[in-house]
Formats: sequence, structure tokens, C-alpha cells
Amino acid sequence: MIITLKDARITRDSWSLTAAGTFDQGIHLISGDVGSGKSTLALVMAGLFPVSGGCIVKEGISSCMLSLQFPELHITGRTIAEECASWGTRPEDILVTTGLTGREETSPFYLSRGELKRFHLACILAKDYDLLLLDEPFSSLDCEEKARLCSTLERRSRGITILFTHEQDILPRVVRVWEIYDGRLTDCGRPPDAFRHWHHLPVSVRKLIALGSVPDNISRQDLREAACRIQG
Amino acid sequence: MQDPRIRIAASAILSVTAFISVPGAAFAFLWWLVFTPGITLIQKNRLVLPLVLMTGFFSLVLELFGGNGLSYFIRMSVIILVGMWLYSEQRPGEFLDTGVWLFGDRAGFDLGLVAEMGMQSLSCIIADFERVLLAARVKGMRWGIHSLIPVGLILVHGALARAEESAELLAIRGYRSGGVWNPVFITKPWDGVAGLAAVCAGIFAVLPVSEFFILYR
Amino acid sequence: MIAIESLRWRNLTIDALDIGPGVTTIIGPNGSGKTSFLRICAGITVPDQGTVRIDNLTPRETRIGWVNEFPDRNILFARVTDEIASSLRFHRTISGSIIGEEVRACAESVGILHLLTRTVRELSGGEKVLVSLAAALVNRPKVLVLDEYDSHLDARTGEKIDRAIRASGSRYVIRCTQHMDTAMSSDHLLFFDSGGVTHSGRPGDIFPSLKGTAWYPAAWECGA
Repeated sequence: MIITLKDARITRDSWSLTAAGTFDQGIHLISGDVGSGKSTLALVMAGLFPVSGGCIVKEGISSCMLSLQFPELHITGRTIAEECASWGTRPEDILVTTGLTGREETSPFYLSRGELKRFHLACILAKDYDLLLLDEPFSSLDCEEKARLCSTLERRSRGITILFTHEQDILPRVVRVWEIYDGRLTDCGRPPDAFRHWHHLPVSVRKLIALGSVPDNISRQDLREAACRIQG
Repeated sequence: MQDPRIRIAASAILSVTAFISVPGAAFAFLWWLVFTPGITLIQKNRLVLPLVLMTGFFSLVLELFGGNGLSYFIRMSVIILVGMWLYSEQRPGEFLDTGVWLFGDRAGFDLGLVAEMGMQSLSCIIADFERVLLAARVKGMRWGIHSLIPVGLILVHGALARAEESAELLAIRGYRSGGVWNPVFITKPWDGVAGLAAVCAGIFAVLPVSEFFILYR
Repeated sequence: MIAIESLRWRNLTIDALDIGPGVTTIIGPNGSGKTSFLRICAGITVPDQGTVRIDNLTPRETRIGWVNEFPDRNILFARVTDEIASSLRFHRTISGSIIGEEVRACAESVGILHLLTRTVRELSGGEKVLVSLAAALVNRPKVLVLDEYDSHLDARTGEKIDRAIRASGSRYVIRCTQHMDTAMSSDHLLFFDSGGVTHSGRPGDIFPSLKGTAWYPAAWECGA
């Protein structure tokens, strides 16, 4: 399974972005400042926004899902049970994993922002998509939920997962780091080599490198191991 | 048209003119063709055609039940065109400028603020609608009549949530009644011409044609 | 001092809590009562029981600045300059020309002087938060309340806003965040869980007890 951006050019009013690169199986991180075009790029890769130049080629990808940043826009069911069914998932499974047992008949609009985001992600992650695009999946989640999300993503045994996020603190292990910088999608490479070229390198990783210990990847466990090597 | 006072007054006159009779609607439509971007306005505002189609549906029902559906359709369509022009020409702050100029910094400010926030809410609803359509495509759902209720629920819920948050913000920022606002207007000569033409359209609509020819002789 | 006594609101229960001047950060899981507490401190919500006194006044008698999580929902006016000026216009105690000067001064202090002629809609998410912050600060609030204002911000904009918050001059800043590296730089830290305050103190005293959890700052993981 791969998705390739062949000199794709994306234009929206006066803003534009050029993107080229190949995404293979595993978790990819696309970082960038707010307003840099991450969400638009996610739409393009999902086939929901056109490119003004170049093309997107998908090979071996038969299913694709995009999670938008604001889950309330996805709501189509009048109850949580209906909403689960609209995603093609079993309500019983989702309610248990999200701690919403007993609230099947509640309207999704009555969930708090954190509950709704957690519920929405659970519905999406319950199915196995070849290409999974997650736009700011960590927003509105607390630290524990961010860590749980990272574990869930790392457990995905197949498929391409692309995270579009400006999150810096709690991240999963990734196979490749990308960033949108200066109107261009840049392939920073595989960690830890990627750290040399990455403008949005997390502060904690930067500090570890300054202290002489380079983490193998960007997850919390990698940071702890790198810290242990210093203390060690 | 730069001056919002003339724009709002012209819109009000033309809407009434179009409402009262088919000849009135014809005069208002003629004004619309001369003094607005015309077809470009329809191309830029995606709401125009759905609204006209909706009007067409109700006109057909009226016609089937013995009313004058065609007259209704013509008059309402012109009112929609005038309304779209007013909406597309509106710039931030103009309702407050006009409100305070007309009614002072208490009632005028309050009215202007309500209008400004109403326009903002409308823009947010339109933006939400586009995002909802996109989210439905993500879910693999097809847009149709059956989608009206869930989409409507999302839009209404969003609007109510924003209204509640706006009310809280107003309270926290100390709003009670009225406010300080210095209206600023730019009036071009063409604004005056267009305003006068709107008044004339209104007069011609109510003046019997035979009376006009008596005056002429 | 902000003195909270016998506070009850939905699942929120606080028997006694004092918050001193400076920056107080609230952290904790979703649903633990953080937003409810912030809304009570801001005077938006009146609790079922108990009192909140800010230097012996109620929140509604105190000048409050408020910024919530979603940039698009913190906005009343379409133009940046009108948005920042809003609280001054509502109070009706100063003239239009002085309002203009105050708006310019506030925008400069927050670093958004170049945005004054723009409309809010064309701004990025981070710029919208800066505008909301300026609108909250222009009235020189005694208490600045911010509810996960950095949730949709990148690190660079977050740092810019933190500097503006520190320089705001507000006697009390009470903020909620899910970025523990931000929480580290507070004067006081409160950890909320299941509707109550389980930890209260300086970040340096609280975070060691959270080692091994997701609440431990990444910077501390790496020994910084």
C-alpha cells in the first residue's frame, strides 16, 4: 500500500502549497504551524479537495477514512447508538471503550468536547482502513487520552496512518516525519535522522540532543530511554 | 453602493415596491439590473438559486390551489435578488454605523449590534453547512432529502451554542445596553443617483399609469 | 487572594481553596470539573452553593478577562479593531478617540498591531487567539481566565501568547491547559480529578508525584 504525491499543487484563494513524496505503511507525522495547510492537505489526500497541478496516486488502497478536527460536524445520528451505527460499528463495543455505557440513547450533542472527540475517534479506529488520515486527533483530548490514542495507533498492524498535527508533547512512534514549511511539504526522513532537518522538532527532543542523547523516535518511551542514557 | 444608509433605504423601498404588484416587481428588477452587479451576483451567491427554486415550489402549490402563483413567484424572486444584493454589499460595522446614526448610542447601538451579530451568525451557519456536507462525504453518506433533519440539527445546535457563548462574552465584557460608536459614512454621487432611482421606482409602482398620462397631457 | 469556600456545582466539590496572585494553571482529565471551576471564577456560572471571593468581591463585581478554547467562538465583531475595543465601547465611560488609543496600545503589547485593519475571518487560528486575548486585556482585568486556549495552537504561537499573558499586568491569571510544559512555568498548580482538587502547590512540588503518568512534563522526562 502506498500513496504518492507527484508534484501536487494545492491552491486556495491566495494560499498555495506544493507537495511531493511517498507514504508507505506505518505512522507518518505531518507537522506545521496553524494555518500552514495541514487540514487542506488532509482533504486532498482523502480525495475531497482537488489539486490544481500534479496528481495523487494510490496503490493497493481500497479503503480510506479522514477524521476531521471538529467531530461535531460528523454527527448524523440522533442518539449515540445511531451515531455508532452510522460509522458501521457496534454500539456495545464503542460504549465500553469510551466509558459511555448506559448513555446509548443520549444525543451526541450532549457529550462534552473531550467525550465527543474520544467517541468519534473510537468509531473511526474500530474499523481497519488501508489509509487513515487524522486531522489534529489530539485536540480536545487530555494527556491520558492522548497517551491512549498513541498506544491504539501503534497497535495498528497494517495500513498507512497519517497524523496532521501541531502536537509536541505526547506522540506515537512514527516511521517518517514530514513538515509543511514555507509553502512546501518536506520529507524530513526517518527518526532519528529526521531530527536534523525538522523545523518543528519538539522542544524535549531538542533538549535531549543538546545534552548528547538522541532519542530513537518521538514517543514518551523513547524520550525516557534517551534520558536514562544521560543519567546512566 | 458605499453609503449603507442609502443602501438599506433603497432595499426597503424596492422590497415593498416588488411586493405590492407585478409592475412594481418589474421596476425593482430594472433597478437591480442597472445598479447592481446583476448576473455576477447570482454566480457568486450560491443561495440565490435554491431560494428561488424554493419560492417556485410554493408558487406552484399556490397556483394549484387557485391562487396567483405566477405573480407570487415574480414578486418574491425580485425580493430575493434585492436581499442578496444587500447581503453581498454589506461590510462589517455598517449596521452599527446606521443604527447609531438613526437612533443614537443606546437603542441604535443595540439594534446595530443585533444586526451585526445576526450577519456573523449567518456567515457561520453557511461555513458550518459546507463543513457538514464535507463530513457527510467522509462518512460515505449521500446528500438527499433524508439528510435535511440531521444536517438541520447540526446547524441549529451550532448556532445555539454560538449564541450562548456570545451572550456570555457580551456579559463578561460588560455589555448592558448601548455603547460608544462613532458612525463613519462614505457617500459617492452614484449612491445618490441609485437612491433617487429607487424612490422613483417606488413612486411609479404606486402611481396609476393613466394618471401619469393625464399629467403628461 | 481568591478565596473559595464550600463550593458545589454539579460534580464539582471544593471545600476550601486559596489562589494567590500570579499565574495558576489547572490540569487534569476531561470531565474533572476544570471548565466548571473556570466559569465560576469568571462569574459566568453561579454555583449551587459556596462562595468565590476575589479580594473580597464576587467575580461579577470584578473586572474579568475571558478566553475559551475555540478561537472562532471568542469573537463578537467582524473587524479586529472592533473586537479588541468591545469592552471599552460597552462600558461607555471613555470617548471614541481614547478607545482608539487604548486599542492600539493593547494590540502592540500583544504583538498584533499589524492585524488591526483586518477582519477576524481571514486570520489564522493562532492570530484569532491573540485577538481574543487582546480583547480580554484591553479593559485591564484583575483576573484573566483562559480555558484550554492553547489547545489549537502550535508551539511557537503558544509561546508568544504565554509571553503576552505574563506581561498582561493582571493580578490573577487562571488558566487550564493540556500542555504540561506550559503548566511547568506557573506560579501555582492545581490538579483536578473527579470533581475535586487532588493536588495544590508549586509545579516543582506536584509534578514529581505524577512521574510515570501522562501528566509528567516531557521536558522533565528528558532531565531538562
